[in-house]
Amino acid sequence: MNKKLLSIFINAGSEVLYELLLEKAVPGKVSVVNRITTTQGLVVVIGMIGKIEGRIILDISPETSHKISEIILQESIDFNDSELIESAVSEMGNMIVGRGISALNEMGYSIKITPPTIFRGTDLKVIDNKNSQMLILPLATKIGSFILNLSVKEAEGTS
Amino acid sequence: MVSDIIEKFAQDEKLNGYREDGSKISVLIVDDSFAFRRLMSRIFNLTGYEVVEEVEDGALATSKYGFHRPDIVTMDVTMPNMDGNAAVEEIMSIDPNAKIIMVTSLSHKELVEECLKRGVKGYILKPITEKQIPKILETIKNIAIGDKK
Repeated sequence: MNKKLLSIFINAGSEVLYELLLEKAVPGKVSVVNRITTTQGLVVVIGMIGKIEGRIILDISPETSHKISEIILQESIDFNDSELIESAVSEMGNMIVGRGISALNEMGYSIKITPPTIFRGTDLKVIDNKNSQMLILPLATKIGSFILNLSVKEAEGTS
Repeated sequence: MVSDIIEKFAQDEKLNGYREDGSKISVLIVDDSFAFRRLMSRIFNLTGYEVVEEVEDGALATSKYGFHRPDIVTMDVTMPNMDGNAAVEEIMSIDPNAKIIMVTSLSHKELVEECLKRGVKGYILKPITEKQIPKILETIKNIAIGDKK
């Protein structure tokens, strides 16, 4: 695991949450695994292609997704408006990854991101053969927990 | 309520979407996020701007720009079909005086410089928070009503 790369995305996640919630997220216990099982209910997956490859998976509960969507959109939203909530949470994922890849671009890494993919479920298993190890970081906030699953590395053939 | 706060900006002539003659400043919103288009559209509608259309990619933005000729375009960068950079190039070839502001999560120097080189007039970094709205509206209004060459 490349600690420098991971810290860039952890910082990006913390910064975006701080800007939205006006309060620092509290990092929980970090773990490194070969297989992820999502637990919270709504999952956003964003991939990276280029000199850095990998993905970020955001695992959020329906309640927290609803609350963060209301903050992003600055209005009350129906808890059952899944299309709007999924779009808002995807946008938050884009903000985190966008900020991370901007930092990496400044360091000379040219990277593009794939559009977010949303899954719903509490027992989705993600096995990453290519990157082999994934970091799990829970970020606790006043509106609930955001679990960041990170798997990033320099692409083969780059130094 | 945030709506009440945003609505107050409609009374501020530095921020609202009205020109001195009372006509509305027209805006084309380009972003692949349904949620983000809704946020931007709501802010503009509550403050007196006229949202002529919301579209989700650069190709649609180019065709709709030619149709509406809005006073200003808010443009995302990462979008399917045609990204924001390519759309800026297309729109500037239709109208070299087009006023486009990038609204994106990406902020690296190389991208910002590329956008400015293509004629983009402003750059706004997501997320759009309540605190930032007055500054964003002021920037948009200043660019929209600036001299047309």
